[in-house]
Amino acid sequence: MPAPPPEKPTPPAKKKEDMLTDAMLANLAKRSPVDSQEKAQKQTAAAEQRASDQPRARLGPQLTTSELDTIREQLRPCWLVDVGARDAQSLTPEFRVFMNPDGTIRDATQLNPERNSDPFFQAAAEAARRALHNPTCQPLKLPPEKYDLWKTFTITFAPKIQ
Amino acid sequence: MKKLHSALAAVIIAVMAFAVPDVAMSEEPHLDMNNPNVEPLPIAIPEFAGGEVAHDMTQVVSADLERSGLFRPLDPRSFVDKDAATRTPPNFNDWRVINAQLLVTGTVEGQNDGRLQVEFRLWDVLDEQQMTGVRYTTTPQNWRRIAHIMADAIYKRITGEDGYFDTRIVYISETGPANKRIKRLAIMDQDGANHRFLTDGRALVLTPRFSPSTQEITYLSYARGVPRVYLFNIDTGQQEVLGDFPGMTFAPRFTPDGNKVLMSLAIDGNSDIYSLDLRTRQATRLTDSPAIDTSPSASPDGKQIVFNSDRGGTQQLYVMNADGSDPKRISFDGDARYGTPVWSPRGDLIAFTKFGGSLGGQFSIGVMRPDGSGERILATGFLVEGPTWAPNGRVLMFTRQGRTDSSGNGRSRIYSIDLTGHNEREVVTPQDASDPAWSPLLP
Repeated sequence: MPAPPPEKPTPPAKKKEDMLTDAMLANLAKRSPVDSQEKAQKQTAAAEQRASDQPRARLGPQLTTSELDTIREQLRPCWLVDVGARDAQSLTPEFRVFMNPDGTIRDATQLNPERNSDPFFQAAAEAARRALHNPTCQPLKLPPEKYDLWKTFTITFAPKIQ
Repeated sequence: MKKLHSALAAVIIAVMAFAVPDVAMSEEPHLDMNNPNVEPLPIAIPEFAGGEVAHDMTQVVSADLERSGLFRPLDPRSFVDKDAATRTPPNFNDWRVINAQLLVTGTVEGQNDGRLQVEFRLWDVLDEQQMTGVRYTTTPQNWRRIAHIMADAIYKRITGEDGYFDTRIVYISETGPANKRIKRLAIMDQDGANHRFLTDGRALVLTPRFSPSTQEITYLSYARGVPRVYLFNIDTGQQEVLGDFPGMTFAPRFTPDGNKVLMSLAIDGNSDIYSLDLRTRQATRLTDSPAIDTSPSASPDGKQIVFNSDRGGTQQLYVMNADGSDPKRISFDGDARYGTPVWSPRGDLIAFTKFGGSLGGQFSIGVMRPDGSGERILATGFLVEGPTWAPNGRVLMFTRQGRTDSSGNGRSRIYSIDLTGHNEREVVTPQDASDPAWSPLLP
């Protein structure tokens, strides 16, 4: 995964002579040995994403409403949202999720990354990504015999705020 | 070979012919998530490396984030990695096992010139990424401000919104019995630290308000017997009366550009709203009604002013243009009375004090949109009043006073509450406290 670009320095308002922001610290995270495996998986995922843009053949029944509800209920505890964000209800990141047969999430690709230039949207997208990457809400309890139906799915995080 | 190719081509065509009509039968499943979990984000903040000051800075950052209600700092006793501050990158597994989603690491080092070099990094534990990292150089006595600035940087990276930790609160400190109450202007950091008094208590002072652009406060003082609006410079300690008016002036508030002070002027029992230009000291009358018009607060773009008036029979909120034209009533709830309206720094809401209406005989602090729609009550009580906004428009502070005892005294304290109505917290003050005013982010 590419490192994010370094953050911009803090605004000049903080630059008092006796309190200088020297530098934004570059991302020094070195990739661990599992990265090559992750990379391969992500390449597969990317290929599947491209493939999913094409018409796909599927046989057999669809996922039932209760199976979709299961995913929803399992992911909900991990979706921690800042409901006080301005226009929180309009911050609706979408992802394509790539599943392993054991019900764990292999990868998730944001489908509307162009909206991340808005820092509020970026924050909402990162909260959604954390929900999808959080191992405590997985594996999803889905019928293994239907793996072909749920090996990829799309998901929109659209908070309804009281 | 050619035959084989032909046969393969035929098979492919046959498969495609089979596949095409099937596409319409199924689509990739789609899921809408609507019901989020509003719990705070678990964050691990192991003690920064660098001795006592590093320990103290860790405490301040952790307390700031915890008090916001958006973060839940994890108990350091649960940390697997006991030497995490300097490990770059972190061992993410050690943080995943304790369910941390975010991790802050930091170091504080003394330099040859006596200054401190402080650096921190914020990590996304689940995504195994550094989210931000900043290094500061500062004098040792500035450590607490740097800790607040670090907490602001973390808050901004996670919420997308400017923080509010590097700010101060000015308020009225109260002591003594009800009939001989001593009220002093006091100032402190938003977390209660660095508390000091700005006036000595000889004159009654009320309603302090911060300038949005300078280290100045405007407030009401009885220093010369008659209540007058004053300007106080925090850095120099200088005070001056604002304007040369024949009657009593009160309820001052800076406009968002800091160039004017809006206030009320009462002559023969009739109060109207005036605008005083701080550069020319020229006053402009904005309302002209026989009713009591007071508590003006301008919108962030300076184009409108919200105020309260009893021109309709009871005290209600009105919004008018900045030149005083086109006043419109925006508060409607039976016989409820509304006062002390304050326009949010982000412009989307007006906070107010309310009494009665659908809440019965109670006071409440609420917010509504500038057109009067979407009223929400955030806090209620025997006496709650005087909201003030954090500079990012996400948090309010207000006064909460309990029932008075036999001697006429009621415990009065400042509380903060999130815009969502959650996370009400007392702001600790050494004595009774009222009328808080939140500063902008410090320069």
